[in-house]
Amino acid sequence: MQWFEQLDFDDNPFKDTEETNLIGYESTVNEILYNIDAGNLIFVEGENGSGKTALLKKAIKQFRGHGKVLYLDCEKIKALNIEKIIEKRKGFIAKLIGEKPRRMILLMDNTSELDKKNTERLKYFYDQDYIKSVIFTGENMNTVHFSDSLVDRLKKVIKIPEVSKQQAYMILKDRIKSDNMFSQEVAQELFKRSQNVKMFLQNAEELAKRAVENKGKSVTIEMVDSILPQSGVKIENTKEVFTESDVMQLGEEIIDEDPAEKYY
Amino acid sequence: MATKPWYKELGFFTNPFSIKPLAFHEELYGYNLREIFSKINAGQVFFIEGEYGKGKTTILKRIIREFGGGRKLIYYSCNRSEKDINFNSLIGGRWGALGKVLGIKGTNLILLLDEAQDITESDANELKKLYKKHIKSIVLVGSSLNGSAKNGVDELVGENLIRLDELSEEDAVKIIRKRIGGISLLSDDIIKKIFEKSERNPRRLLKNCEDICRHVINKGYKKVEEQHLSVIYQN
Repeated sequence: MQWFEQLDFDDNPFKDTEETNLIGYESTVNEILYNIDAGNLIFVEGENGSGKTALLKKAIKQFRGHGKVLYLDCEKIKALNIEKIIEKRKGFIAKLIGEKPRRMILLMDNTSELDKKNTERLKYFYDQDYIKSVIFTGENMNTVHFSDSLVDRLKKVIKIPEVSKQQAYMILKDRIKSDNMFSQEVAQELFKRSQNVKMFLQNAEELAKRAVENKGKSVTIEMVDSILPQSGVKIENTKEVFTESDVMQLGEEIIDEDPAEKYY
Repeated sequence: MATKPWYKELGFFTNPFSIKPLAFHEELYGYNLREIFSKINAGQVFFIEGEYGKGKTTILKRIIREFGGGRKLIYYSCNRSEKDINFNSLIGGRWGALGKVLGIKGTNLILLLDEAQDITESDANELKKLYKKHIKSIVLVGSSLNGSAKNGVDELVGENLIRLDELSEEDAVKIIRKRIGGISLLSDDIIKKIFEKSERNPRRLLKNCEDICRHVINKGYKKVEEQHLSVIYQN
C-alpha cells in the first residue's frame, strides 16, 4: 500500500495535475487563460521550480479536447522544428489536400533559446493564424534571443509571483486536505529551507510519506531537520534530454508522465 | 476562466484587436496599395520600409492576395536561416521536382522578401543577376534600408523606397472602427488619444486598445474615459 492510500488518496496529492489548485497563482492563471483566448503571444517568466509547468497544465485543462493544444517542452527536444511539429498535427485527408491546421494553441515550456529559423516560423504561422496563441515560459525573456519582429508581437511578459509563507502553508493544507499533517510552523519552516516551490512540495511529500510510514499523524520540526538541516540542502534536478527524432520514433506511444511534445 | 473575456461581454466572438494581419479587409487605411501594385506590374525592384508594427506583413498579405495563385509569386523571409538563400531552389521550386531535376527556372516571377534588412551581400548580388532574367519584380520589406549599403541592397533598390509612416489620426480611427464598429465604448476622440500614446504605431494602438477595453469592461464601466488611459503606462 502506498503511503498516500493510507490517507485515503487514490493518487499522490503532491503530483501536479490539471485539477491541482494553484494557490497564489490565481491571477497568473487567469492572465494566461485570457491571453490564449484573445489570441496573444505572451512570455511567462519564472525561476526553475516556480510552477511554470503547473500553470501550463491549467491551460491544457481549459482548452483541451479539440486537438488544438500543443505542449512542447523545449528543454527535452534538442532539434526543434516548429514547422514539422505543426505539420504533423494534420490528419491524412488534410495532408492530401494540402490544408494547414488552424488556430493551434502552442504552449512552449522552458523556452531557453529559439534559433532564427524557429522564431521566423513561429512569426509566420502566427500571422497566418495557423497558430492562434503562444504561451512561452522561461527563466528570463532576455536570454531567449527572439527576433525583434517577434518581440514586437509579444503582448506582455508576466512574472510568476513569489509565494508567501502564508500561502506556502495554505498550499500544503490544500494538497493533503487536512490541518493535522503540517502545522503552520512546520510548513513555513520547510518553505524557508526549500529552494523553490517545486522542491518545497517534493520535500513535503517525502516528509508526509515518512510520517505515514512511522505511523505518525503529523510532520515534526525534527523531521524537517533530518532532511534539511538549517542551512538548506540543494537537491540537484536531473533532466533527461531527448532529441526530436527520439520523440518522433516514440510517436504516439510516449504517453509517459511528462512527454516533451503532446497534443491535447 | 473565472469570467467571460471582455470582448465576449460585448458580443464579439474573438478579440477584435488581434494584431494578426487581416487579409480579408477590403480597405487598408493609410497606405497606397495601388502604388505598390503598379510598381510590381511595372517590374520594379523596391523596398518597403517601416518600423515594427507599421503594417508590413499586412501589406505583404495584400500583395499575395492580389498576385498569388498563378505560382508566380514567391514569399521568402530573409532571416529564416543563418545561411545564404538558395535562390535556385527557390526559383526552380515553382516547377516542382521535375523542374529541379531538369534545371528549369521560372520566368516573370515576383519575389517578396520579408525581413529584408537581414539580407546578406551575396544574396543581394545573386538577386541582381536573377532580376530581369527570371524575376520580374522584387519587393523587399524590412525595418530599415539604413545599413544596407554594405550588403549591396541599396544598389539593387536605388531610390525606389516606400516609407510606412504616414498613418493619420483619421486612419487610426478607421482601423479601430473597422474592427469594433460604431459602439460607444470608444469615442473617436479617445481613439486618437490612444493612438498618440501608442507613438502612432498601429500594432501598439491595437495592443493598447485591448488592454484599455479589457480593464474598463472588467471594472464595469460602459465607456472609456481619459482617466482609463493610464492603463497603458502600467504595462
